[in-house]
Amino acid sequence: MKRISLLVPVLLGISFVVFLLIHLIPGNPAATMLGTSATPAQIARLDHALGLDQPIWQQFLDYLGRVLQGNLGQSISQYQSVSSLIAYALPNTIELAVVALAIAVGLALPLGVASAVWRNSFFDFASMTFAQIGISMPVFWLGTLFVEFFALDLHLFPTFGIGPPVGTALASLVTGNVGPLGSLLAHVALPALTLGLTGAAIVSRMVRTAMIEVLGQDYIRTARAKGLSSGRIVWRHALSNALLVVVTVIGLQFGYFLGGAVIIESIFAWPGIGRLTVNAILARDFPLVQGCVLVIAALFAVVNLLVDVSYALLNPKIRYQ
Amino acid sequence: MSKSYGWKVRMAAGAALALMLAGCGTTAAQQNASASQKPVYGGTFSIGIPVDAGTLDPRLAQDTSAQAVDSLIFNGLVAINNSLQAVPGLATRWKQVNATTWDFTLRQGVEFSNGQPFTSADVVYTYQTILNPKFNAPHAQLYAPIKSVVALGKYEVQFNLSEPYAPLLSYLNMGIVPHLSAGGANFATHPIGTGPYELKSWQRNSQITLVRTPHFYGQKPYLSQIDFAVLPDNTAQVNALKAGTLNMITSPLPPQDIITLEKDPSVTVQKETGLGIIYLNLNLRDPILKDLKVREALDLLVNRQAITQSIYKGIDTPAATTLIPGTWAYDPNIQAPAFNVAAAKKLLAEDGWTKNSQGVLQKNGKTLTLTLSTYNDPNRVEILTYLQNVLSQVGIQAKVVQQDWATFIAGVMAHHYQVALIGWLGLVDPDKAMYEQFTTNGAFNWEGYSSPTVDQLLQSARTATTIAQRKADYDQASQIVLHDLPYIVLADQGWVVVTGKNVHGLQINRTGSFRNLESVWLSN
Repeated sequence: MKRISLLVPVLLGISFVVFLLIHLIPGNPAATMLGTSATPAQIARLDHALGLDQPIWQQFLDYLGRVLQGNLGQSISQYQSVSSLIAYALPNTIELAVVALAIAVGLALPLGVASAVWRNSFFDFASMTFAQIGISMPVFWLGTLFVEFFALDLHLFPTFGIGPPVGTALASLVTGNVGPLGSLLAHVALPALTLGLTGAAIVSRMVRTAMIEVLGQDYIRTARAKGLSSGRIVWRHALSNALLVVVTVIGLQFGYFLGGAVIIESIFAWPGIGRLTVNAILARDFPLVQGCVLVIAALFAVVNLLVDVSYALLNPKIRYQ
Repeated sequence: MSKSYGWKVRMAAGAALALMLAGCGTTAAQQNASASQKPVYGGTFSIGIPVDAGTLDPRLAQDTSAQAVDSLIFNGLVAINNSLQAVPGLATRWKQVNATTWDFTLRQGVEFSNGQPFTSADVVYTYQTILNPKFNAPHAQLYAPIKSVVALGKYEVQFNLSEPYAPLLSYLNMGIVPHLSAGGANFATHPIGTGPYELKSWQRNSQITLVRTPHFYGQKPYLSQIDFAVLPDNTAQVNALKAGTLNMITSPLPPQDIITLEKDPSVTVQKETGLGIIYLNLNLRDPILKDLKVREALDLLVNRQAITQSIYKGIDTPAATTLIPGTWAYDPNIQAPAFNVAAAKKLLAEDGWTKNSQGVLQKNGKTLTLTLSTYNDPNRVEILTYLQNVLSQVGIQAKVVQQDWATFIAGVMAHHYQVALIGWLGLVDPDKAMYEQFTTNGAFNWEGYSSPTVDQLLQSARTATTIAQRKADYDQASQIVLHDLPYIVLADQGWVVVTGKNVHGLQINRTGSFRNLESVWLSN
C-alpha cells in the first residue's frame, strides 16, 4: 500500500516536469492547429480561447485541477477528448507489448540458460552472436526486412495495420469462429516479432550472465554433490535465483514496449500510444502530451511495482510492508 | 545454407526481371487496357496517407489528409477542375450582379448523408460559422472580404462583399455542412455531407473508412468502400502497394521511391505539376539580406536544375515565380537567371565584399555568414546542404539548421531566421500565392517585403473583372518580385499518384481532391 501511495508524488512530479518542458520548447499549438494559412490575429484569438495566454503556473494549476477530477482535457489537434484517444490507443499498445514480451521471454530464457550451461560452446557462441546482432540492428531495419520477407515474399502476414480488438476476437472464439483471432494474430505477428527479438537479445544476455554467476555458487555445488539431476539444478535451483536480476530487465523491457515502440508503430501503422504521443509533441498538443505521458508513466510505475512484488514471490526472504 | 542459396537465386532472377522490365512505361498502355474493359461496381479501395486527419469538419480542416477525405464526403458550391476553373457543385449556376454581389442558384433535390435536405440555410450557416472569429476556422482569411451571405430563397443565396474580390469563386469549394447537425463538437469526428461517400468508422492513427452513400445526388460511384490507411513510413506505403494491400499512394513520396516504382510493372505511376512551390524566404530585416546585391548573388548561386534533377529526380520542376505552370496566370517568359558562380562572385566583389584570411567574404569588418533553416524533411535538408556547399565556394559561410515543423514555423513567423526553405500548397488562385505573401504587412509577409507598386498591382488583381487584367497584374507583380527577391522560388512541386494494376479509370487530379475516385473501378 505504501508503495502504491508513492506513485502519487511520482506522477505529480512527472506531470510538472513534462508540463514545463513542453511549454519551454518553441512552437505554438494554436499556430500548428491553424496552419500557415492563419493570421497572427487568428493565432492570438485561439491562444486566448485555449487559455495559452495565461501565466504558466495558472495553466498548470488549471490542468492539475482538471486531472484530479478525472478530466484529461480536450486534444487541441484531434478535436476529441484526450481520454477517448488514449482509451483507443492503449489497448493496442498493451496487446503489442504483451505479445512482444511473450516472444522476448520465450526466446531469451531457453537461449540464456542454455548458453550459460554450455558456456563457451558453439551454441553459446551462436546464441550470443544472435543476441549481439539483435541489440545492434536498428529496429526499423529489422522491421523492414521482416515485411520484405514474411509479407511481400511469403505473403504470410499483412504489411501493416491492426486486426480486430482482442475482446471481439475472444468473443468470436467462444462461438467457434477462429477467423477474428487469426486476423488479430496475423496482424500482431510482425510488429511483435520485431520488438520481441530486440528484447530477447537483451534479456538473453542478462539471463546468461546471471546464470553463470549463480551456477558458480557453493549451493549449486552442494546440490550437485547431493546427486540432484542437472535439469533440476538448472531450472529449480539456479534459474529461480538468477531470475531476480532478469525480472528487473524484463520489467524495464516491458516498460519500453509500452511507451517507446514508436518506430515499430510507424513502420506497421500500429495505432498505439507511442505514436499518439509523438504526434502530440510535434503538434504541440499540450493536453494530449500531458495525458499520454501521465498514462505511460503510470504504466511504467505499475510494471515496476509488479517487478518488486515478483521479487517477493521469487525469493521468500524478501518481504514488503 | 540451401535457403540462403535459394534467396540468391530469387534475388538474381528478380534483378534480371527488373532489368528486363526497366523502362517499360505502362501508363498509356494501361489506360488503353482500362478503356477496353467494362467497369464493375463494388470493391474496397485502400489509399495510404502519411498522417491522420486532425478533423473531418471541412471548415476546420487544414491538413492534406483531411482535405482528401473531405473531398469525398462533402461538396462545395463549386468544384475546382484540373485547369483550376470553378465548375458547378452544389450551385448549378451563378452570376455577378455587381462588383461586390454574387448570386448563386443551388441544386435541388440534394440530401445530406443523414437524409436531411440541402437548402440555402446550409450555405448561409457554413459561411457564417467560418466568418465567426470564435469558430477559429484556419482559412477564414480567404473569406474575409465576404460581408454577408443571405438566403434569397430556398435555393438562392447571395454573397455580399465588402470590396470586389476576384478570387472568390476559387475558394467556394469549401464543403457545405448541414445547419441542423453541424453545431455540435462531435461534428469534427462524425461529419455529414452531400458527397458520394459517408464516414463509416474512424480508428484514430489507423484507418478512416468511407462507404458509398445512397443519398448522393450524382452518378453512383463504382467503389462501395474507400479506406484511408494511415501509414507514416513511406517504405511501408510502397510495400503495401506492392503487396496489394493498398490500391493507391500519392504525394508526398520520396523521389527515389517514385523512380523505382516507375520501373515496377505491377504498378502505374501518373505524374503532373501540382499546386505547390518550394522557395527560399529571405528575411529582409536582416542586415546582410537587406542588401539587394547579396540577394541577387544568392539567386545566381541557386542551381534549380541540379536541385530538381538530382534531389527531386525531375518530379519537381525548376520555377522562378509563385505562379503555377498550366494555369491562366502563368507566364513562361518570366524566368530566373541561370546558375552562374562567376557572375555571383563578380556581383559580391562590386558590392565591396572581399575574402578575409579564412577565405570568408567580409565587408566593413562583418563576415558574410548565413543560417539556412528548414524543418526535418530529408529532401529539403539535402537542398540546403547542397546550397551550403555552393555558397562556401564563393566565400559565404553558411550553416544549415533543421528543426521540427512547429519550432521552425514559429521561428519564421517571429522573424527569427535569415534564409528559410519553405513551401506553399494548394495554390488554386494566384491571389493565394501572392497577396498575403507580398503586400506590405500581408499576413504571410514574414520576410518584411514592401513595394508600393506590388501592393497596387496585387490589389488591382483582386478587384479586376477580367482574367486578362488579372493576368497582366500578376505577371507584372511577379517580375518585380523576381527583381526584388524577397523569395527565391526553387521549384514547382510535382503531384504523383501510384496505383495497383487492378485500378482503372483514374484521371490524375492535381488539386489533391480525391473526387476523381468517382470514376474508378477495380478489376479482379
